[in-house]
Amino acid sequence: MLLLKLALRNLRRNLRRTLITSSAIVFGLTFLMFGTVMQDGMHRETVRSAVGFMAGHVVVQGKGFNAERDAAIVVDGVSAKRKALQAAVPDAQVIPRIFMGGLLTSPNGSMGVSITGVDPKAEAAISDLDDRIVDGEYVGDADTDIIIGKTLAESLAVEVGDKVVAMFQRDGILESQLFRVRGIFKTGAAEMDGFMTVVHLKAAQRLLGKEDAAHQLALIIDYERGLDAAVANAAEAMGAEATTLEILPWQKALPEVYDYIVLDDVSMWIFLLLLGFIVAIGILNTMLMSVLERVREFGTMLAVGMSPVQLAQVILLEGFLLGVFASTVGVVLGVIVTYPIVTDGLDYGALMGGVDSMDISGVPINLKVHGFYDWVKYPVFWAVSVALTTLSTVYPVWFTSRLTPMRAMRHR
Amino acid sequence: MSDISIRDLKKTYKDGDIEVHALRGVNLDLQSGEFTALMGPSGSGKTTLLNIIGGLDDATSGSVLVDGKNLVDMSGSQRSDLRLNRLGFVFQAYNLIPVLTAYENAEFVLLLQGVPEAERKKRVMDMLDAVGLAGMADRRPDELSGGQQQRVAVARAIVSEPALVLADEPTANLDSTTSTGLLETMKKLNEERGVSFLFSTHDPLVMEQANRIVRLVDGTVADDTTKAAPSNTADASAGASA
Repeated sequence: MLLLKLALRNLRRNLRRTLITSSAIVFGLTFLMFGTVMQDGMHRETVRSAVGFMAGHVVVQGKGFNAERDAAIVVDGVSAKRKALQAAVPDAQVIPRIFMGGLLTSPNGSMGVSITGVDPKAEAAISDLDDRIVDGEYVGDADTDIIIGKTLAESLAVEVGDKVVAMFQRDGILESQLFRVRGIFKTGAAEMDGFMTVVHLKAAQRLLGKEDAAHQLALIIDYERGLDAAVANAAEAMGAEATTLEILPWQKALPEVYDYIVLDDVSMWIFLLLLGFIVAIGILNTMLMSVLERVREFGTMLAVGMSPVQLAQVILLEGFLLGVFASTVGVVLGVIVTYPIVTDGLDYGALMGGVDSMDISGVPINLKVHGFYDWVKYPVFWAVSVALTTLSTVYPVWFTSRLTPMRAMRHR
Repeated sequence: MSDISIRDLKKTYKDGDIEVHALRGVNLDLQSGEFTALMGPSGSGKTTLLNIIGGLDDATSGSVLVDGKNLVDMSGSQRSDLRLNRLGFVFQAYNLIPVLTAYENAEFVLLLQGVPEAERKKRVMDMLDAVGLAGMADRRPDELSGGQQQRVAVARAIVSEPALVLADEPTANLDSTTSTGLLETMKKLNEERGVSFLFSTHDPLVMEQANRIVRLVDGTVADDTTKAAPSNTADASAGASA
């Protein structure tokens, strides 16, 4: 209690210095919180968009499809499998998809395209694509509906209502089908706007020559919640057929997106380490100054019988208490400051000078990003900040350990 | 208090290239209950001798026996233990801890000793009362005069009931009135509680109160005089007339 009392009183005796030192930690942590809340929000948005456009949180595909993207690798009996997966993961939305490469022709030209076959109602519930229709409407129930990207529409000089022909080579034979342009979309991702088309699942199955088949059954669940369980339950639902399938979490289904997120995280951690180092140097300087000012006082304490270990504990406690106080304020302030960004979002597009859209690894991203609180991280930030502040007293403690009472009392 | 026995104590230190012989073989015995002044000109070795007896400095050679153990051979932690449990210190510059009140400064050593709270409170208040500061327990050092701060230092030095209080020029920063009052308090503690004092001093007021004066010159004891106990003149006269 004596040591705690001394440490607290010493922090209060030069309140201005204590507050200035604390503010370095507070602002550092608040800045850190802001950065990670935004980054976590951006990552969530990236994953949400990616699984919405191209995959699911869990995907069930024919073995080898993820690596080869070969249209011949299909999942048969899709209707039954969809029901089985829905029963096994009741909270998920189970979406069938077909992915093909083909040719789209109009009276004005032809382009190589990707053709994605979807269940329109189910797909619209989880994908943003229906929100990105700039002309016309999203795919309807008619199996002659097609929606295409804006850049593609311009390349082929087609508008809503125009006819186009999609061609697909199957077993050496060129299959073709007539479609009517129902809608034109703009995502901001060059690849999607220039090459992506979406048709009804039935139309894609006809082109593929396979009824009741798909390339992918995507499971959309709450972000990260129960991901491992969903993978396990999906595998169990597929029973003996699981050996002919690949059942993958999104990290494996979308490795470029995953790698981007990991790289972004690593960059952030490197930045944080540097920031932490700089703040720690500042605190070390302040602690050292405060110790040097009190050398004669330490000499008296040692002279009347305080042990060097007790003296070291007082200084360590000062650093620890300063760290606890400032780190707590920093984390709490970080939560308060970022609350509007979590609830209302931050419009990156406006900050970037009115940019409409952007893509990361080919995934179109909504530029109004909502921050996200990852509550697991903040106690870690707090603990690391307290540890760094306490560690910054190590050199001043070493300095005092070399004091003898007489030398200390004569210190100028 | 056990006696302190000093034999052939030497202290040499280097001042640049020059060797300074601060103590050149001091022999001295200190008895319980003494009120002793070490006097001598500047550089005679008074403070050096005090610091070595207090375990604050190392001797070059010789011995300082405390409770039969040679302080010169003790480790740093053993000396720290000795200072905590057997010695008290009063410094010229008071050396109070600025963030603690008068009560807390006086209590400091008892806390380090692990004395229980109730006993600490009783002893500290009793000692503050004995030094005339009963109503100032809650004041910080910057709220006390120099004399009051020195009284707190005396309370801190004595409250742990040390074998010996070492006082290095305790009146140097005080005016004569304050010095006289402080010395009377310390003398009273010496006489009523048997606390032994060893002063390093130039102050004639201290020498007036001391019952033993040890004069150091050039690092050796030049003179060691114990004053005779004052005779009771009235009893002597009554006895003579009887």
